[in-house]
Formats: sequence, structure tokens, C-alpha cells
Amino acid sequence: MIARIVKNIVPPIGLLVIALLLLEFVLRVAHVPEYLIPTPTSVLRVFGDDSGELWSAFSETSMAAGLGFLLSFIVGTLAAIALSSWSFVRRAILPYAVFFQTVPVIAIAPILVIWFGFGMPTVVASAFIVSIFPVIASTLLGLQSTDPALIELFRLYSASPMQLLVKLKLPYAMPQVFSGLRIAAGLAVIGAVVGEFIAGGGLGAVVDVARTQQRTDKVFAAVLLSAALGLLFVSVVNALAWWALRRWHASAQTR
Amino acid sequence: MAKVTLEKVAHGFAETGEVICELDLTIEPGEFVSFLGPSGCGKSTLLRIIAGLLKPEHGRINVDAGGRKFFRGFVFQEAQLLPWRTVLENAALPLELIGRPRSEAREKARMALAKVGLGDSLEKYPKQLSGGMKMRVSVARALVAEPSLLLLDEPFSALDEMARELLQEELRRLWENLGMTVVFVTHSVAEAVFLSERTIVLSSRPARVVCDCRIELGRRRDESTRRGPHYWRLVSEISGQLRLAREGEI
Ligand SMILES: Nc1ncnc2c1ncn2[C@@H]1O[C@H](COP(=O)(O)OP(=O)(O)OP(=O)(O)O)[C@@H](O)[C@H]1O
Ligand SMILES: [Mg+2]
Repeated sequence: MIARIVKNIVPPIGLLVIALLLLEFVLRVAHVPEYLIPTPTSVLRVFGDDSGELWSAFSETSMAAGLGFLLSFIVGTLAAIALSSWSFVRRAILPYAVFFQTVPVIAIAPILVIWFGFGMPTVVASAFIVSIFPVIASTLLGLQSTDPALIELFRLYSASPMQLLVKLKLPYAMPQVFSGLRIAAGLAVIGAVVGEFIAGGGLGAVVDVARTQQRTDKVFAAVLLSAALGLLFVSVVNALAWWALRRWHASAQTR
Repeated sequence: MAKVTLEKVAHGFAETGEVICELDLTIEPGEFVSFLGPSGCGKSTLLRIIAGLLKPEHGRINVDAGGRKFFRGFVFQEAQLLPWRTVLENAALPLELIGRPRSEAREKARMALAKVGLGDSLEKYPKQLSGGMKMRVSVARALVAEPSLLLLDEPFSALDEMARELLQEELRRLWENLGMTVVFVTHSVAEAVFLSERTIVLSSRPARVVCDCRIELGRRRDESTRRGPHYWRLVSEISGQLRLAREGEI
């Protein structure tokens, strides 16, 4: 176990350290100004000096992104169940869903501010809007790909629509549900940070304010933190997926 | 035990045209009937009609178990187990679906699994099982609701020779002991002859009855049945009929 962790973790960390050292060296030798590309050490110093501010921004963004993600999981799953159960609803709604999906969040964010004001609700709404579509699309695909022979098996015993959904379609769709959630987790963080550019608060606001102060090192620090947050979200979903599918699905074996 | 009556049953699909053509057939209670026929002739379609999964376009189909409520069991070509359920939970599924209490469902599933020789693999998941074991679970699942009518669609065709013969002998024993009507679809003449009391050969699409043979090999059958001269004579006779059924089309 420990040997495997070491084997998987040492090479990427080693590469990172070497790359950072090289970058530091090149930036210093070439006298690249700090406001264009800050040296790794100065970014590192920001983490120390502004740790309180960065930490509270980090937790604010993770709260908003987490809420948005949770909402899109719940609403998206219910929507997918509704869409898969009633084909006329699906035919009526799907074209608009596809259209709506192509509208960029950054364009909707000002409207969200008008509706929800500055602060958390707008940020949550922004995270929700970008992350709900992959949940709906994957869950719907999973629900519709149930093996017809298994549906016949359930029909043989006159299973109710509820039994069909709970005992067959939803468990059958699980691997696909998780692949949707994996994409949604990353998008929720992106949606939250974009929302924060407009509505304020969190890492998005730190980036925005630091930019106007020409604190490129702080911009870099906040950007790195939001990337780390995305990674954290995706890892949590991966762990959940592994736990839920570990006994029966092939995807959970390769880890 | 159920009696199956088909009167002038006909069915077709838009893509293929007529698949079953004016079929009249009676299957007596407690009979073991096998259907043989060229690939694509409509055997599975016929079986799904008898199972009540498909309503025929024309004609009438009636399944009657002496006026009592009854269940059907169905075994598909692939085992079709739910991969997220254990062996025991898979076998208990039909009873859960018809609303029996959980404890009763599990108890009966355990008994059905013991009948097919899987009493000690209850907590395994399907992916941990061999093909033959999966098929056994599938048979146990079909038996768990004590069906009056058991339908099997080429259940053993994906198994190796040894596993196949073993499962045939077990199925035959289950039929001898449990008393139910069995309808069995297969590609293999030897399998049909060994298992059934009556073998019906169907023609190429649209399916018609080409021959309807009684298989008189006695009630108790085991591996020695396969070595008898009577068995071989029946196999070659019915193979001849099957060949004729194919040539009719070409
Ligand atoms: N649901 C369906 N829709 C359209 N065509 C179908 C459907 N089911 C079966 N068919 C067609 O009906 C014909 C008979 O199919 P069926 O599966 O009953 O044959 P079969 O005798 O069981 O064949 P095999 O021996 O290969 O299993 C085939 O040509 C098939 O393509
Ligand atoms: Mg078939």
C-alpha cells in the first residue's frame, strides 16, 4: 500500500520541484518583471503572508461550489428521471436544454446579480448552472441504456414503475451518473470562481482585486488554489464512485 | 402445472415481415417441450409470446394452470444477472418484485440455490462466478417463485461441453422432481432429444411446424441415456428433419 503510494506520488512531485526550480532560475537570470510572471518563491511567500485571507477565500469558494454541485446533483438527477420517464417531456424540453447549455455563464452572471444580488446566492447559482447539464445528460443516458432483457425480466413479475426505477434503472445507471458527477465537480468550481468575478467574494474576488493592484504573485496564488479546489472536488467524487461501485463494476477495479 | 394453447397465432415485425405463421399448438400440463429451428426463424419470438412478454398480432394464446394464479419463470441465453446484487439477492429478486416479505424471499432463494448446487456461494457477486455458475443462478431465480411454466431460451449455448451436459442433467432432474411445464428453445438436436418428452422442429421464417416428435426415452434420464442406440437414432432422425427445414428455404 505505502509502496504503491510512493510509486505513484514521487514521480509527479519530483517533476514539479524540478520544473519550479528551473522556472525560478530562468525568471531571475532573464530579469522578467514580477508583474508579468512572478517567481515561484514570491508566489510561495504570498501563501505565507496572506494565508488568512487566502484560506477564508478558499473556504468561501469551496462552500459556494459545494452547494452548487449538491444542488445540480439533486435537481439534475430528478430532472433526468423525469425526462427518462415521460418521453413527451423529453422531446419538448431537450432542444431548449441543449440551447441553454451553450449560453456562457460569464454572460449570465450579471443577470444572476440582478436577481440574487452581490454575494453567495449568485455564486451558488452560477456554480449550479454550469454543473447541472453534465449531470442531466449522463444520468439520462444511463437511465435509457438499461438492458432490454433485464426490463423483460422485471415485466415477467409485473414490476411497478417504481420498482423498475429503484431496483433496476438507477443502479444500472450508476457508473454513468458518476461520470457525469466527475465532470460536474470540476465545472462547479469554475462556475463559482466566474460568479465571484462579478458578484464578489471568495477566490474569484481575490484574483480580481489583486489584478487591479498589479499583485500578479497573489493572482497566481489564488489561481493555484482554485485549481487545487477543483482537484479536491474531483477526487472526492472519484472516491465516492470507487466506494459505490467497488464490488461489482469494472471501473472500480483498476485503481 | 400449466397448459399452453396457441390458436392460429401469427406475428411479424415491420423490419422482417412475418415471423410466425398461423401456429396451432397445445402443450400439456407437465410436458417438457423443446423447439428446434434454423437461426432467425422465430423461436425466441414464440417463446416471448408464450411468456406473455409479447402480444401476438393475430390469434389467441392461453396459459392455464387449473384456474389458479401462477408464475412464469424465464431463463435467457445470457444469465442476465444484476451485477450489483449478490447471488442470494439475485435469486430472491422475483419474490421481492411480487411483494413477498424480505425474509421469506431470502429463505426461498436459499432453497432454490441449494437445488442448483450453489448453496455455498450465496454472498458472491456475479463477476466472481464462472459461466456455468451464472447460469445456475439464473435457473434458481427462474424457479424461486415456484413457476407453473418454465421457459428457457438457449440457456446453455454459451457454456462448454462439460458444463452444458451437467446442467442438462440437472435441469432434467429438476423437471422430474418439481412438476412443471417446460418450454425449451435450443440449436442443438442432441440437447432437445436428451431433455424433452416432445421435440418440435420449426421451418425457416415464417416459422411453421415441420415435425412434432415424441421422445420416448423414459422418465429417468442420466448420462447413460446419451449412450443408448435409441437416443442416437432419434438424434439422427430429427437432424434430418432439421436439415429439410433449412433446405426448404434455400
Ligand atoms: N423486437 C424485434 N423487432 C424487429 N424484429 C425482430 C424483433 N425480434 C426479432 N426480430 C426478427 O424476427 C426474426 C426472428 O427472431 P427470433 O429472435 O425470434 O429468432 P430465433 O429463432 O430466436 O433466432 P436465433 O436462433 O438466432 O436466436 C429475426 O429475423 C429477427 O431479426
Ligand atoms: Mg433466439
